[in-house]
Amino acid sequence: MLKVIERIQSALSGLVENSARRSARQHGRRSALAKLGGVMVGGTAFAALPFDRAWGATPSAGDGTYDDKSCDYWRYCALDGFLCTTAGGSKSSCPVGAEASLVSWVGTCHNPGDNRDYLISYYDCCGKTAFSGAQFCLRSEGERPAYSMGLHNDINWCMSNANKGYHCTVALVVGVAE
Amino acid sequence: MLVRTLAAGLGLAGLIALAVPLGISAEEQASYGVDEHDKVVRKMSSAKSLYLLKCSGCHRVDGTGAIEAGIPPFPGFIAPLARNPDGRVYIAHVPGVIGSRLSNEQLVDVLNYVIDEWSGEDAGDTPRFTVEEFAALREVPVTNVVEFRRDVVTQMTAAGDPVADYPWP
Repeated sequence: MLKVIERIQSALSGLVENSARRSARQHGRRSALAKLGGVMVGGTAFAALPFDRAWGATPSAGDGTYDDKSCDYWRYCALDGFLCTTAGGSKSSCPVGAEASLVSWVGTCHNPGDNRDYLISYYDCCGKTAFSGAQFCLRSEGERPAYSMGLHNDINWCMSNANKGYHCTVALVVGVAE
Repeated sequence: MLVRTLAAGLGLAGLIALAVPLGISAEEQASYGVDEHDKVVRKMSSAKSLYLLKCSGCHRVDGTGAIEAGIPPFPGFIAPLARNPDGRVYIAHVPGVIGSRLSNEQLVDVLNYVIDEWSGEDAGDTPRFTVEEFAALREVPVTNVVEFRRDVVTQMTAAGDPVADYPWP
């Protein structure tokens, strides 16, 4: 079976080589580029046709919507800070050695998976020096500048703790926006 | 020349299309400038969800607050405060209430939720808020809420009512 495949491969490669050499003798480089351009445009049009990126699996947006190490993760819609998932913690718990802030920022995020809006509490993890390799995110959707303090998230929520050093932020689902 | 005129015409059509959105409904017009998050919050009617969204960040999910950060706890303190007429004015002017961007209906629901949850055995004797009363309380001019609180605290202490610790004297 393997031999048959090898033979077909070698036949194909010979065919391609012969055809390429013939083409090189007959056409100039410019003409080849022009034709290649046509093929590429065709290729793009084909790729843009709708197809199921999820390959039948649900839900998958094909981006970071369901990747908790990505700023695009749906729960991080109002997050401003380092992701604890990339700093030794998880999306809902602080890394060992850091404590959750007493106060937090609460916002709503839309989960495209079930098309509902959830209440997300962004706790800062405090009392541990920042880890330079952590992923920084700034989405803060729905935030307003400091003229509207009730919707201003540019705050170190560790200020309420004895250890005020900021380490990272977690995104805890605390309820449904209903 | 024709090409240039055509391009100018197209540009003008584009400008008109931007400036005059056709077929916009009254509902869409009313929510112009309201982003998706605000729309979600405007539709919320569960007092518990509103508490979680607008209050729990500071007062915490269990209502215990963080005294050292200037956030008084509710249990043991909210009922006597809500039984004092000036205390009710104060509650209507708490920074979190003023800056919440909630409707008076939503605010009344969430404040009554706080009384229901953390009044303990005083729940029966503590008056709840109505929208009419709350609207009137909001009209009382309170320009310095810390100073106003000081007066309420003096009154309550004289009457022997418990008052939560507060870092700003």
